[in-house]
Amino acid sequence: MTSTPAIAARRTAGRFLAAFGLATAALGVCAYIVQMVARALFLPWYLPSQATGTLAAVLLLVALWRRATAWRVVAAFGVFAYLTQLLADGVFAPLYLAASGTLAALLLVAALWRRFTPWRMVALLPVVLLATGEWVMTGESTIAYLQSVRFYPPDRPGLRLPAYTGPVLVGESFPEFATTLSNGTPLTQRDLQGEQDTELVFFRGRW
Amino acid sequence: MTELGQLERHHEDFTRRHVRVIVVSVEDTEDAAKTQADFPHLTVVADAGHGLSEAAGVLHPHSGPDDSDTSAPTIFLIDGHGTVRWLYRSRAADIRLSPDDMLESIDAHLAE
Repeated sequence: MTSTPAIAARRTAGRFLAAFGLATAALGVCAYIVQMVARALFLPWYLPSQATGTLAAVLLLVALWRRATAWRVVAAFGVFAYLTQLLADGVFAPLYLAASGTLAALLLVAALWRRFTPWRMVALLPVVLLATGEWVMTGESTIAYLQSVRFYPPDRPGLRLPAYTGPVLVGESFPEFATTLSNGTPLTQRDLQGEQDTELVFFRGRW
Repeated sequence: MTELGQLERHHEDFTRRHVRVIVVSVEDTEDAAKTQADFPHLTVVADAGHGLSEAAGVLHPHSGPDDSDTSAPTIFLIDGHGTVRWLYRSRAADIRLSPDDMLESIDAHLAE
């Protein structure tokens, strides 16, 4: 026969680690948001979330090892899927984000239905918000996926860049061109010549 | 686009080196004007016609969100005579040079 303290101990086994692991994963998302808001995306943007995500994965693994629960399996799945996709340079359609967020919300609703506790009620709101945000974030990729019934290849529009093989050569003149500034003023190769040197920075765009 | 914020923040460091920063995307003048308003110390080019991007050979096919072509993030350092002194392209679009790295490259390649 199992004693009451033993049941209580079993119930709480790994709870701290699981909570800490989830909090760490959330910290990665927060770090990314902070980095975006601070316009400090000069490092690989995923670095904070990659570091905290790895820590989260380790903590979740330990928690799973101590006691496997559906919650922990779902959390571990989300974190590992994210890290795997990230490390494979394949963050082209992070559908798992929306899927895991939705699953988490559904599980919380189920937990509330089984037993109402203030803690679960409080936990539900941010999880629903997170899942909603994830669906919004992955909406375009989701639609593209549903339309094409296939994932984007990693380089469309993935992160990997082809090596530069264009006509510009170091030590040679920059090729002739004609374009316009944001106010419509023409800009040509001759405008690059003068007292100032020029750093020409090509970027994807406002999206 | 967040790296533009870093460049804007360090604009005095570039000015001190007599280097102007011109940022280019294949967007139209409407979007480029918004970018210009956000980053007033940078010079923003609206290269919707691809005149500059094609000349520089930086167009990246199907890389846009709607399968359109966009500029692959690339940096060219050009001296006052119009000569290219340095070019940089990272292996992935999300890996970008910090302004400090760019300033170091200016010091290294324009001081030669």
